[in-house]
Amino acid sequence: MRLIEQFQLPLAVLTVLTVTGLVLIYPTVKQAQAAQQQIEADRQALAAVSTRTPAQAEDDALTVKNRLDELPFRIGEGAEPHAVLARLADAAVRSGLTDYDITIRDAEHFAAFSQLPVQIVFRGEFEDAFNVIRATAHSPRLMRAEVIRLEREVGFDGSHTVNTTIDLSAFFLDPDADSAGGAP
Amino acid sequence: MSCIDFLPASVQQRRDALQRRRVTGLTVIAGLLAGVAVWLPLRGWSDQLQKQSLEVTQQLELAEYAQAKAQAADARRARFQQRIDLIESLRDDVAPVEVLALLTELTPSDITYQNVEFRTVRPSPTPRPDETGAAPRPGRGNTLDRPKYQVELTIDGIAPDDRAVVRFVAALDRHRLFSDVKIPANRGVVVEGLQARSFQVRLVIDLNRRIKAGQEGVAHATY
Repeated sequence: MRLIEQFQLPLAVLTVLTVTGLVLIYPTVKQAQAAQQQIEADRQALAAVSTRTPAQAEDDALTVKNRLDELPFRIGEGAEPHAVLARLADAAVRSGLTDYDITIRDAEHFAAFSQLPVQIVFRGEFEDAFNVIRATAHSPRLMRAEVIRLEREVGFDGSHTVNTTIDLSAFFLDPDADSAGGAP
Repeated sequence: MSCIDFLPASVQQRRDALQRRRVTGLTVIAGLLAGVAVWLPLRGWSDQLQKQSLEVTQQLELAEYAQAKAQAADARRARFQQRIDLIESLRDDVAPVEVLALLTELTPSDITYQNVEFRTVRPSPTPRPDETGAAPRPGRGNTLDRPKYQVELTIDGIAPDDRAVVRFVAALDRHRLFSDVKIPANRGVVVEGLQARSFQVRLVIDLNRRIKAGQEGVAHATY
């Protein structure tokens, strides 16, 4: 007790310094350092962020979309066999055909796309075959003729007809398709 | 010398102790004030840094938001481009109807077609990866250095004589679009009581070789 009495002034000074340092100055300096580090980190991240503006990116995307829209073909978003059937039937009817067979087989799936094998068989003139092939080639939905067979047939009365078989592929995308694959 | 000096020692000691406590108290208060005086500017500096940090963080958030929007637009652009590339790779470079039209144009009037077959040969597309996650095997055609990508055309016809067949085949052979023109069959037949030649011609349209529009005799074809 006496010792404390004797050294009370240095003890008090020490206590004041400790309390001030621990309670006020040290936390404040720590906060300031943390803020400074945060600023540094944020500035570095800011420098790494691309300077490309969303408007520029949107413009680029729109340009490519316009190019896509300008293509004469679309690729279907699903198999939609009814749409393929409607297109082919329309082509056949426009060509003046009444008797034709259309067979749509199960879709085949590949990495980048899927395709619907379709066969159309009819009997008519050479021009009819031309017209149907032309109509499918000009279909807005992407279809490709894989095999075309034209066979002339002579009837009992000497008349000529052409038996036409066209194997087509109608292309479409489906959500499970992996975009990494290549097209033929 | 004052009269206090004559006070008893105990009183003197108590007075000294009181004096020391007073000095100590004043020193503590002074120390605290000095500490606060040092702390206040530090506090101001710290507050300023925190405010600055908040501003930079907001800038970063805005930049990241803009970048995310730009990345979303880039992803859309990539999807559109991929779609274009796919359509371009799937569409026929040579439209079958134009090939048939060209064929008709090159065919002399005394030749009659019996059968015509237009068959495209393409590399197999890359199959989907199987469900076990194994890497897809390349399509058959992809194993070749130069994938076979061509149209094979087979024509069976009737001609009045061999000279007509030769003229027809020579016209096909001269045309830049057609290559590998062969006559696998040519035999005599009687058609409606007349002697004629039944022949078969096979040829290839090489789709790897791009032919520019406007070149000799291919004005009707699409390339």
